[in-house]
Amino acid sequence: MASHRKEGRVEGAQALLLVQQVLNGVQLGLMLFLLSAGLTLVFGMMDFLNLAHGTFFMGGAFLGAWINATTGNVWLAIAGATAVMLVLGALLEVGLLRGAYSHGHLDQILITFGLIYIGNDTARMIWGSDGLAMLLPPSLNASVSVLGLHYSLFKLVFIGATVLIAGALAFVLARTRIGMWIRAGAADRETAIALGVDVKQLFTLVFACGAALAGFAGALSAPLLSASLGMGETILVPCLVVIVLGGVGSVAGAFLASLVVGLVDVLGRTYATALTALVVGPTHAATLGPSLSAMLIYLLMAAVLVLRPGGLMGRVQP
Amino acid sequence: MKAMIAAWLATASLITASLATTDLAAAAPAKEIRIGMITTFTTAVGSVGKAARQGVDLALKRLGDKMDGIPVKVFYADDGGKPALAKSKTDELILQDHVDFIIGYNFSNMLLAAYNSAMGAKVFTFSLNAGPKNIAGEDCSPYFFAIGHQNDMEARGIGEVLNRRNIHSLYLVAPNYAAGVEMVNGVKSTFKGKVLGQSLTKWPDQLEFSAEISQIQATNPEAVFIFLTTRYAVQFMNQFNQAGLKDRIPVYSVATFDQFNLNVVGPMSIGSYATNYWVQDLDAPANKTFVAAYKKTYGGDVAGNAVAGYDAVNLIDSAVRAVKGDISDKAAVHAALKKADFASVRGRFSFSANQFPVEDIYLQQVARDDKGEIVLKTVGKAVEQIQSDAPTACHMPAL
Repeated sequence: MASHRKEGRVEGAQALLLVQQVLNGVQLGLMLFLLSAGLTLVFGMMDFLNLAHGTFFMGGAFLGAWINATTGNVWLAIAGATAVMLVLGALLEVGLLRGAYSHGHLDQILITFGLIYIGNDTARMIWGSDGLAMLLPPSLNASVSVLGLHYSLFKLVFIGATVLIAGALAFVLARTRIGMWIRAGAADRETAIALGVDVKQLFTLVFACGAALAGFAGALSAPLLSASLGMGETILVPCLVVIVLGGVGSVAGAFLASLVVGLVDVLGRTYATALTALVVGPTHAATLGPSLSAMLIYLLMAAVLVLRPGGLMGRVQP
Repeated sequence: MKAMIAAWLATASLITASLATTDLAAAAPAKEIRIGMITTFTTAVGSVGKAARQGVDLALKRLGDKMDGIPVKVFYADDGGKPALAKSKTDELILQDHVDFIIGYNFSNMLLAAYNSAMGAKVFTFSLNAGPKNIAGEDCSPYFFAIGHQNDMEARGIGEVLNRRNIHSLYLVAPNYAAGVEMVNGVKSTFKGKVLGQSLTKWPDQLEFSAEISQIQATNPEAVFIFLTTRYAVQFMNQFNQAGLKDRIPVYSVATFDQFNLNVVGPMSIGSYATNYWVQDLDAPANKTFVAAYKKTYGGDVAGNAVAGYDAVNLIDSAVRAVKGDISDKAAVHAALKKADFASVRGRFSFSANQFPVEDIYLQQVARDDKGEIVLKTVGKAVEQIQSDAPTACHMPAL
């Protein structure tokens, strides 16, 4: 009887862990979505590969952490970082990147790769090479308990805020005229231009909003991740996976793929070692499991590309 | 084409190598002592290289840039945090700059990549921080000296501390690369309690730590062990706090907190523990001289990575003086190096048979000092005169 109860408790704890990890996965996925949404539209509309998108993320994180440390107001920090990245994105697009659209991918990669270095070194000059931590006020730095599940309040705020943004984005894209133009531009640029859509202006808007979303994601993530040099490159790689997985140019695809990547990554980190142990035994699994979990999202991407070359929700290129 | 280049390179290196040996055999004592210093000077972890160089430069300055009256020239090389670069830059130091000694290597994967090049060329090499187990064991070489530690010495010290403090269960977090695995195994080798779980995180680009924190929450250990670089330590401790774990579960760490990242990672880590082979307030005459000279030259607290650089130069100096500047006699140089006849800033210091340090490990705690600043406060010794414990005994080959 006693052992039965104990087993029940272990199963209960395992179930709670699973719920928690699913929440963690959703949270990570939503963070990836904030970045991928802008990136996929930029890539889809202008065929422009922006490697410096992660730099906006880093910029948002540093600005957020810095404004928070100076003013002590988290919301002002997040809003301020987003606004600065919006302006910076617009300026960059008009001042520098616009000229690069007609060039090939190689030139675009060189330019945006250079921007990564400029971004990192600018951040190093201003904030030093150790990065900045963003400390939450006690009211947010708490955990909430529901049915025995303890979960960070701020992560719930993160999930809520991001879902709101995703909803707003979906509304704009699906229900407004501008959204229709953007979708048209992303789906088939030439036809959209032929039908009188001012893609040039539209693109400045999309690029700036993409930068703002990345900055927002950075500032919102800073309390979890802290701001550090090179964080933009670390996050860019899974974002590219998300875009390819979801289908280039498809925001809905990016949303779906973000959640898949987030969940696969977090659940992989939690259970890969235990699952590998079933096959190769615990000794080898201790190092093999983590290596395998680090590869999971790429394996997933490869599998999807074999089955659906256009991505989950993208058009199959003729 | 590739084969041709390879053949050409091989010939070129043979020629340079033979030139180098004739060079050495000719002169006694040497006209110049050439030291190659290679470590990570750039990237986000570039501060470790900067600190190591401060130690090397400070020691040389105090020697008047001379050893036994012979001028010393240092060649600096940056491995850029890439093992392939660590190897090619090491080759460059040996073949192009003809260095007599190599100092450097912060990360084990850089050292491992460059190890065969340096050992093959029979250049005495002093690793400042990297001290992987296989080099302490089956791959040991008379030309290799570890100055800092064997990677897991501080970790083994943590296990001893946990035992003394009656902590019975533990969860471990470290990155999934050579040193990370060694740290985790090091703690486990001395810890007598139960290991409830471990997370080997993606290296070097783990995104975040939510999955790991949730597992800690679920297993509810009496203590957590971490080995993380600054960027990840900030993330981990932040999320650890937000999950409400910090006041319930003490954190023990190695190579995670130092004087310089405490302004970033300190506020969320107060009360956490760390073990170190050197502490700034260590009561040894050589340490007092070192700390005073360092503060005077560079201003501010000593960067921990400077210690091994400083000691390495003084060790080489002791050997050069012992052989009266005739560094072409490698057997004599080797015998002198093994004696470790210099005043280490760590106090009691010697080499075990595999030429790894025998030294004390100290326990420190992140705390606020009288002025309200966050510092690493020395609590006491974690373990005295710890030795390398390589699993396969090192059969040190003759020189």
